[in-house]
Amino acid sequence: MLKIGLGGVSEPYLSLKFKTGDWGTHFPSVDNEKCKGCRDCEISCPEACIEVKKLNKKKFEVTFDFDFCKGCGICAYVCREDAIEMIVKEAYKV
Amino acid sequence: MGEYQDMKLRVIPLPEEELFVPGHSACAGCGEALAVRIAMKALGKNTIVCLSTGCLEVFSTQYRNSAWKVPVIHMLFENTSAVASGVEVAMRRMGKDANVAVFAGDGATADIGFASFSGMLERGHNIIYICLDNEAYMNTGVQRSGLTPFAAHTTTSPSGRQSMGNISTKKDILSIAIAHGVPYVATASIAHPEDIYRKVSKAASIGQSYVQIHVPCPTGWGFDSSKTVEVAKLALETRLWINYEAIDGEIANVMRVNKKPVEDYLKLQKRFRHLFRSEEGKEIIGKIQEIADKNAERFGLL
Repeated sequence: MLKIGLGGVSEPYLSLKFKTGDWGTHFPSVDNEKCKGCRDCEISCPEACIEVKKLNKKKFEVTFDFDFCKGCGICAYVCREDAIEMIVKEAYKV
Repeated sequence: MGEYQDMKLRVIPLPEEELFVPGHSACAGCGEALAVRIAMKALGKNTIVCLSTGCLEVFSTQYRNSAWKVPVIHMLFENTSAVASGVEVAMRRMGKDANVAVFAGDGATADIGFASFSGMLERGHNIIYICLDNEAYMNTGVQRSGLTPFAAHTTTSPSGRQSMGNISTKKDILSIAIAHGVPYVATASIAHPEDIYRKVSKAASIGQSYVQIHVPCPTGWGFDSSKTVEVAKLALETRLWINYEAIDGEIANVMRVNKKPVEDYLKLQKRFRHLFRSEEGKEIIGKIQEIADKNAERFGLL
């Protein structure tokens, strides 16, 4: 009898072991004092690697997951308060 | 930076859970990855996704390297809608309630998969069809598709002494979908991620629907990766892309933004740079402005 296999099946979430953090030439740096907690950067990140934590009523803490950040710079563009700055990595400085 | 002021849609808190995780191999600043991440938040865990061939399939479903948490089936360009129809009917027969969503590119929707797409709409399946419109076949190296805009440079519509880029205008797939009697048809743009979330949620609650999302491509269109959202926003402002919904064929909720001349949008992208180098190019820019004005008139945005 002919048997048909499932074919190429991949388990979910396996891409998490594939770190893309070293792809980019820039990395984001945040000034937490300026952050007002609008969460634009968190929503607009294609890699889902930004997290905005609420510390108290007025203070927010923005953390980046540098395992996956490709340094595209979208977060720096969408930030209304100009709190995020893109910095060139040491290895790519001319 | 800091020009992102007129966004008034911040109302919905999006769900925390990520169903489309990082680690995929999309280019930096990929608009498609962003659109899919937001759309998956709206569709939720109880979803079966059918992918056509294209950038999304290549960067997110490499063997042993899947970025998805929901079941995903990969099909060819031409039969995505047909397989999705089969999945939907099978789920109904088995008495299971799940969203069936299709993520297809513009080529898979407007050119190669058009026959099965039309058949799927005609039969009235409860499928949420999401077209990720990056205006060319990006995966194989920027070839022209039916949704490539007028005068854009691609490898199969090159610009030069004899040619000014793509000769035809963008196909109006939205009107074709409306003509099939689809109850919910909408366009969205990654300039407003909450709007994508709202529209895809609405599509999931209605059932049969077609949502087309404008996703700028830094590699294919030729702009810096940080400008993805800026380019999407300028497309809305220059009226070359209009965000609207069509509920039972009636156009509603047209998004209103400040108006800008089309040059602002064109000069950011390498695929239009030939238009700024000659006298003939200026005439072409005039024609693109006419297209934008026609769009504005059609949707009452004057």
